[in-house]
Amino acid sequence: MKRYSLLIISISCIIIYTIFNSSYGNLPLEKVDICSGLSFDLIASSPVIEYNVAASAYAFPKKDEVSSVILEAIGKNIPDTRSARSTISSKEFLLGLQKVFIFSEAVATNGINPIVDMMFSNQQMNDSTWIVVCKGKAIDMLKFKVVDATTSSDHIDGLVESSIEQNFMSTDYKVVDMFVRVGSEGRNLVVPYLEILNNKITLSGMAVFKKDKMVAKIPMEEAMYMNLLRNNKVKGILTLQKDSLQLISTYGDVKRKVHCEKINGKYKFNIDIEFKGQVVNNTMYKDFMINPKTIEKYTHELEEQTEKRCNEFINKMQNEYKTDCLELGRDAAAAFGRNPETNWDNIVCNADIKVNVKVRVNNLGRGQFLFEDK
Amino acid sequence: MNKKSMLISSSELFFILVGCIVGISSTSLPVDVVSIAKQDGWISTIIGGIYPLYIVLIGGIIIKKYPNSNIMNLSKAYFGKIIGNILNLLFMLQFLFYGVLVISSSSNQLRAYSIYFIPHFKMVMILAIVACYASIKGLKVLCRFAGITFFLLCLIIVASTVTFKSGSILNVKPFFGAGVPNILEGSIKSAFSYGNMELLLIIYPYVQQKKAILKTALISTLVIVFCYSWIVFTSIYFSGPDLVVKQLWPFSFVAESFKIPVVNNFRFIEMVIWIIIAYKTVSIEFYASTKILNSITKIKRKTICFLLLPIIFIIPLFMENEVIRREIAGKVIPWITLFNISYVTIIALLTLLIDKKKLINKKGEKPINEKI
Repeated sequence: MKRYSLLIISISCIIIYTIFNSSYGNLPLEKVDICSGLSFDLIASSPVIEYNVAASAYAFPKKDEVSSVILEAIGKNIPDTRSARSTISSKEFLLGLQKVFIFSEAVATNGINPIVDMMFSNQQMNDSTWIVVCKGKAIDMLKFKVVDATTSSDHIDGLVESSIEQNFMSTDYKVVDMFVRVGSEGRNLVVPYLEILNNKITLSGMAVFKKDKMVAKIPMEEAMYMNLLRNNKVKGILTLQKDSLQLISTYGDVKRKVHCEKINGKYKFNIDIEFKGQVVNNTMYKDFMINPKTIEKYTHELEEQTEKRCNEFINKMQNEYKTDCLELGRDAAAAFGRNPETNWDNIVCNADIKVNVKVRVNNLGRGQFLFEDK
Repeated sequence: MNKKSMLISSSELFFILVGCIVGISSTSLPVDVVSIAKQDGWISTIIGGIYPLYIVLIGGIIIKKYPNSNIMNLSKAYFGKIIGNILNLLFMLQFLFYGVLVISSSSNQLRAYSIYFIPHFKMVMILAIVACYASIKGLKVLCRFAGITFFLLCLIIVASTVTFKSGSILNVKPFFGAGVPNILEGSIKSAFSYGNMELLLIIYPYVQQKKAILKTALISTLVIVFCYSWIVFTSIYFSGPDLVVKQLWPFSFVAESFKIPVVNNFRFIEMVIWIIIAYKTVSIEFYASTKILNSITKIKRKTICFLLLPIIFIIPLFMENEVIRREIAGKVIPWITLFNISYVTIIALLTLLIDKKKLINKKGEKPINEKI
């Protein structure tokens, strides 16, 4: 029996190997086009809508040297571009390690629904890829040569990831965040808006989407207040400035809470913002270190100014962008029940939104070094 | 061999009951429930737990009266040999059907998520062979297998708490906002995924501590309800009710978001765990069906395993598309559930009304002579 069992095991090993060997061998790194980023462009000049999808892939032309190639493909729809890309590529294409998807403004305003669907059904997709919108042609952004990285996508990856430190930016600009925002009730997608300024890739603002279409580009000075009102637990600097010599800046983090009321069918939102941080620069008050009352006075002044700026933004949002950039509809839906037919953009734009800012200075750093001007 | 060691302990009963119900199909459970009950799907899932609870409680009557028999012998004794065997055959077919569903669904999901290069029939073949092999080994081995996989299931459940950072409670609010009729309708949908609690009525004579059976079964029901409602809750908590219905396997989408240090991508770890859990579920269901057929035909159970192997190998081949599989399941499972409830209820009522002294005396002494 023992002799037979040895025979059975060896035969079954051979059978298992022949059946489950998929003849899908592992390729070496040099034989694969590892995609580092994709750009989506729309060709508007032709009668039918055509997509130009380009991929930047790493290339290894010499030993110990990494460069990149751009694989450009044009098709009537996105799947067609895949076939077109394989006709110019010399290697197997590998999706899954990409860092960023760059949409041109034309693609974003035309609607990203087909692209979202394509990304959603593809199980090889890496859901933590960044989404950005760029000015002009996205392929120019992809081709742009950067000094600090092999491809511009690597550079943008770092740029978006490190943007969290300032401007009250959050990290919710990934593919998975796009899935949960586009098409969900009371939610809208907001992604970074990039352009090439002074020969550098610059995060110049935020692109706001309504459902799957981009509706507005908000410049960074304004977008800072949008981020402040929209994101919870983010960091940034608020500055109180009277003139070029008298200013106080505070770097801190924000906690946001939204309360929603419904009075006679009209919605009322209260956004409570608690800003807590450290004074980084002070050329206004000289008795900051001795007198706590001055600090209190300063916090009230900063509160007032921030509330004013926030209200300015809300005014602009309600009248110009006509979109719920602050995801207030989500809180209202969670409080008063969900109904897919509700148009939260309209409701929020007609609603009464009140902002309460509370500033607390909890740290002065090492001390105060004020230059006495005589 | 010592006869005592052939019996299973009450903790092993717990593992096998949980293992029989919670399988790979729980990753797709949120779709069915959330499409009706919206953000309150998890409440529906808790209410749906009434079905296994009912089976356990009404089974408790049978277990108390005939602790050494089982449901096949009882139905033969009450309905006569022919009608009893026909009912038993139907009872067997449902386990076989569940086994087929689990095989095809796990193959579909694995091919979608990790091993796209292995064709359907190879996946089905390996699942069917493993199920056959494990069920030949008998109940004791299956219990141990279920014990190991229970801890793997716990690992997935514990790991899913990581998502509580990235999701939001706003997705689940307002509680009871979908309306009570929708929640109740959703609970009927969720009840269909609680099938197979009837396994208890087949294996209870092999449990060592007869008094602890009911208690163990109740605890395992609670654990199953907790697992299921947890899975639905985390899916809604993470994706929101609008995104859950757009996916085929919402809980796997949750698992992909786990950012655990050292582990690069949790997806493949999760898939390995789910495939082991699927093997276990199929094996237990296959064991149950062979056990019933054994009591009908008196052929050796090992032979029956080989006789039924072609069925669980060939039928899943027609369910290569997940949507088709769900349509078939959606049409058949309500009838199975209805049959189960009525079958168990009628037998429980008959045990209350009519005493079969013969059954207690004759069969009661040596049912364990049948190999488990």
